[in-house]
Amino acid sequence: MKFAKITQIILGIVMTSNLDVSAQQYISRNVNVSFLSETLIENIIAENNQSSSVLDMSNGSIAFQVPIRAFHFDRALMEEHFNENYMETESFPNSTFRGNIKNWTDDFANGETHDIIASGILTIHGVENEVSALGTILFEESSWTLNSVFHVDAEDYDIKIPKIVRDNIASFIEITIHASLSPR
Amino acid sequence: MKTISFYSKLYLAVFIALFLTTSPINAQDLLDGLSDDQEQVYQVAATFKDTRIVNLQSNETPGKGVLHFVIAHRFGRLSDGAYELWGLDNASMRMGLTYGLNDRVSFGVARSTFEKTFEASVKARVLHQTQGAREFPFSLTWYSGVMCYGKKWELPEFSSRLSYVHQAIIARKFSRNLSLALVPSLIHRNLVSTSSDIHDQLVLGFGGRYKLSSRISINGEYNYRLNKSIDDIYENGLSIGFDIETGGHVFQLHLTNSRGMFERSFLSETSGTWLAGDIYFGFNISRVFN
Repeated sequence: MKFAKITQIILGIVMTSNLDVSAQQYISRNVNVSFLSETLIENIIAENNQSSSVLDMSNGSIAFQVPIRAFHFDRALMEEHFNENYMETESFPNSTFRGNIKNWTDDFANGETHDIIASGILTIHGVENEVSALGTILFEESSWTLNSVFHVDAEDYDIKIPKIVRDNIASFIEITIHASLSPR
Repeated sequence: MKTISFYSKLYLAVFIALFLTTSPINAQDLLDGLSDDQEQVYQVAATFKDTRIVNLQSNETPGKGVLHFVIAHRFGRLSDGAYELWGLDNASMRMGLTYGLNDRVSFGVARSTFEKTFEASVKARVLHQTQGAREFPFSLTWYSGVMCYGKKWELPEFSSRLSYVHQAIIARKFSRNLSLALVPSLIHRNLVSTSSDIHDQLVLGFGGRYKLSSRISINGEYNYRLNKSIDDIYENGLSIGFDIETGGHVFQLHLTNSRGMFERSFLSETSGTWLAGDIYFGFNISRVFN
């Protein structure tokens, strides 16, 4: 009987810790991801409010999922070319990031803004690259606010920009992320 | 003793099961279960590269606030031989402007040198092929236009110059590369050349494209006339060509047995025969302005 009691106690601990883990996950389904291609001739901006992000507070692991078709441009033709010619969206509908916040500590939840370094695998256009990005994180009113600006080189992701439009489209693209994550 | 060992075994089994589910969560798992419940409805874009397949309208419209300018040429017959540089000495031209009022409706005007024809048209996307959470299998676009014969002509009534076209463009993008269209059309001519000639010409158009690369596609169309007058002298239109897209421009290069570039001409009055060498080389160049 004693053995059963002990197991019961352990079971209780495991169960509460299990609940704890799920409470430590924060999620958002309307992450704002935008990008900017800056050239002398024109700036091209596209915005996406339908991306998802999950942050696990227990270990600082973080992931993003960005549906490419949800990027919207000012000009319909640009959006069409973006999906058809550059991102090949039908074959590669999502971009993802899977990684960790390198300098993660539990102290981040103290209501102040902290600088973070996230690194992991960024997948765009079906090509995986190991990347690191700087950003900030803030815990306030039971939600995490994440901001980051980083750059990707289209060439690294096998996205070919033909010579004829090279003056209009930058290879080096600035990506801005703004996320507000609530408990899962 | 026996009951204890039974309970302890049971607890152990549950314990192990729970332990497995609470094993460290990596980033891979974080995204699990996300993709399914965030499915959205997406309109299928770029069924065709341009608003026309070759001569035939495609299901595409210019889009909101976009001015679509097209300049098109058809040269003479290939069978004219070296003296006419296989038709290149004779060019017939059409200029067209189409404005997208919104993402569904556009208005167009055009002028052809052939019979000095003016055109005015309206094109509307009625149904959109969609994918994602809700799938709809095809796009339906409506096209209506009026064409006006513009040559000096001693005729009492202006209405005799007019002819009309109404089309339902049913298109489906089957894959990234393959799109097909079925285009039932009605041409009404107010004036016809003989009393036995028909005023209303029904045409079933078939069109398609296959992308050879992300910027080049091969296009074709066949316009089958469903009714004919007794002394019919016309042919069914057959055209084949390439779309080459370069950022803001689409170049369409093609061979066709129809010389005219407006619907009355290429749907109901195609006179060339492919086998007799009545093949016209031509191109459409389109450019969009925002």
